[in-house]
Amino acid sequence: MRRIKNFGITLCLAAAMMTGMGLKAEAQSNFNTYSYDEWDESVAAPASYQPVAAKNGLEMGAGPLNTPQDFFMDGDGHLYVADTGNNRILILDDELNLLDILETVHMNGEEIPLTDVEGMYVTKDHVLYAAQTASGRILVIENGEVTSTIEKPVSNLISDDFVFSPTKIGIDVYGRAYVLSKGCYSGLLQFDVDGSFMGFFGANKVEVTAQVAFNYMWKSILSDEQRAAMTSILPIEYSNVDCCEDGFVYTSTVGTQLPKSQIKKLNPLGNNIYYALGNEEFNFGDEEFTYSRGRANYPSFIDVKTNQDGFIFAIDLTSGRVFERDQEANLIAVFGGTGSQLGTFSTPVAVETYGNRVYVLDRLKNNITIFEPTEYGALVEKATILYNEGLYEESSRLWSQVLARNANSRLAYNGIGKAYTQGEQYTDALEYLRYSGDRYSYSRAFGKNRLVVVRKYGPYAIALVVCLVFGISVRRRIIRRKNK
Amino acid sequence: MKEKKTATNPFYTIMHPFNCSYDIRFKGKGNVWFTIIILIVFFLTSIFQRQNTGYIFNYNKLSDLNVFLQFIGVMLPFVLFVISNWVVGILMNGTGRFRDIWIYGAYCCIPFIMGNILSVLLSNILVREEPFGGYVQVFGAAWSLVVLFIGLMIMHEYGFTQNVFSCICTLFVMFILLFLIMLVGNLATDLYGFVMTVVKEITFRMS
Repeated sequence: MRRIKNFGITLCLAAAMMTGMGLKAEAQSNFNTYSYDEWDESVAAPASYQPVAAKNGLEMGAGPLNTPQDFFMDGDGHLYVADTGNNRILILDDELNLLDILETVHMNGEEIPLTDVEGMYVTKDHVLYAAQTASGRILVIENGEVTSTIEKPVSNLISDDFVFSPTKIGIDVYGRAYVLSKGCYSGLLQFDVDGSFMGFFGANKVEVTAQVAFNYMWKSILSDEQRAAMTSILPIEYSNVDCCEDGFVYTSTVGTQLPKSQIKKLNPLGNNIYYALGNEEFNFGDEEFTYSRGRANYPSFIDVKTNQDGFIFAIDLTSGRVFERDQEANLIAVFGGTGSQLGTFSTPVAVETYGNRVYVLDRLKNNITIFEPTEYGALVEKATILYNEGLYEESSRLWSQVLARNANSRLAYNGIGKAYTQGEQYTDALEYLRYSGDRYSYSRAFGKNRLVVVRKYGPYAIALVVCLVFGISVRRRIIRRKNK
Repeated sequence: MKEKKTATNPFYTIMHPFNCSYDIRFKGKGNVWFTIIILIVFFLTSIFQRQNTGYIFNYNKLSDLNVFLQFIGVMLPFVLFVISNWVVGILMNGTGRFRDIWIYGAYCCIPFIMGNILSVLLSNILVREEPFGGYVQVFGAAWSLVVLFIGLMIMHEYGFTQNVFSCICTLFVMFILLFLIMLVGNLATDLYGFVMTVVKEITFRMS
């Protein structure tokens, strides 16, 4: 590790000298920026995202916000904010300037207020889906006119005492709606284009803890009546849903005991396909936890969003941090935190992306913060995109620039190592892959290198052995002859 | 011409457990100094294994080496085993003495040590898809255990079932001893804390 550090320092110094006075001094962040090393210990990293601005309702020009629950960025850079406490929806531009306020909509000739909207989705055709949680319906709004509603579905899958209280909604590329209902443990409710109920989608699984196993054992012994009297074990409900352009549904989960699979990427069958290479279950958020009263503060993700390049952003309510990972589950960036300064949050509830920007909505601070990637962050993202496309040669040039800024970047070592492997420079490849901690790629490069070594020296070794055997047998024969 | 090999040679022991355990117990063969050398080699091997296993198979953080823990990790199980087996032997009318169990136990570590060394060397030329190093290790360990089992049987003059029972009891006693060690350690820490508090109180009062 020391060698890496020295190498990094040298590179940094070299970079600083080369750029000389032109080196831009960046303001230090108000939050910790870090990444994780091979042993899941945090190591320092440059900031990948910096807050550009934070605006509250007054600065937007809409009057103070009151516990906003959700916001949504459509493809044209219009930001829809559900100002739940004020019973209205704000429409802002990408710089958070007010464009319009929706307070009432027309429905069957009547004017109805937009009360308790906790979730929203806006399609490409500017159709606004607003989930009214307490009223138990979803309004489909076009130009201030309610064209249809989605209400409690009638189906034999759904019991009569089921309370439909939609909180979040996502519409996929085919126009199907995925609705999250409060207190529904069976997964997302899936509605067809015409609003008819299709079924439940991708439920979370019950985490097997000691108590669950114990209850299971009891239930196998008890009678039906006794069984009914026991508390039933339910999976944890999702906290949010995001429908990405790639056709997959991303979900986040809060308050899990075991911090695994909090972010899921569900395929059309409802199965999670978001796995890290090598290990099926991985931790999306922090690896190191703070403890309060002997219990770990596990991350609980409140919202998830993918950006145009497929990077996944999820916001953790516990630490107030936004975690960015790529589609291969590599940690790209960590930014934000709890606090009262710019770039920190008290109760973040939603995250959105537009272009390379990231927006975070804070329910308690009643404001929205805009983040933009720094030079370093943009470099890492660019290199990652090339790398994930398999263009190791092209990405390795970018990775060496990343390395000049962050000697702890495992991704950079990995990228350069793979480029060397591709270029058949195995000794260099092994060195870099070793720093990256990627034993799988290391093993492959090692195997190829071994083949090269065997091909190079193998003939000599065989020749040597043959000579020795021949020589010994000749010597024996000579001795035997002498003895005769 | 050829001198007849005896139990004084530990490498002969691991091939002929019946003869050698008999020789150690009833003819007073075996060298205590040699056992100490074996244990030192065992300890060094454990460090070698931790630090020099090929990168592909080595998940240890190399900079976190703690020699003392490695030493405990080798010596504690061995000493615990010898003591417990001796104690169990006394209770179950075994004829083995402490010295015999110690010497024979140390000799029996040899296949395990060799297996480990070989697996470390192999791990430096093998890739992920060829986990032969692990097989070698398991083979060495199995060999050690078999030889140990046979030796104890001869040494204590047990039958097969009796020896199995004795081995289970030995494991049990090992756990009890471990528990007692931890208990004593905890109590000692508590006592130290208590004495320190009292001393502090008194010094506050005096001044």
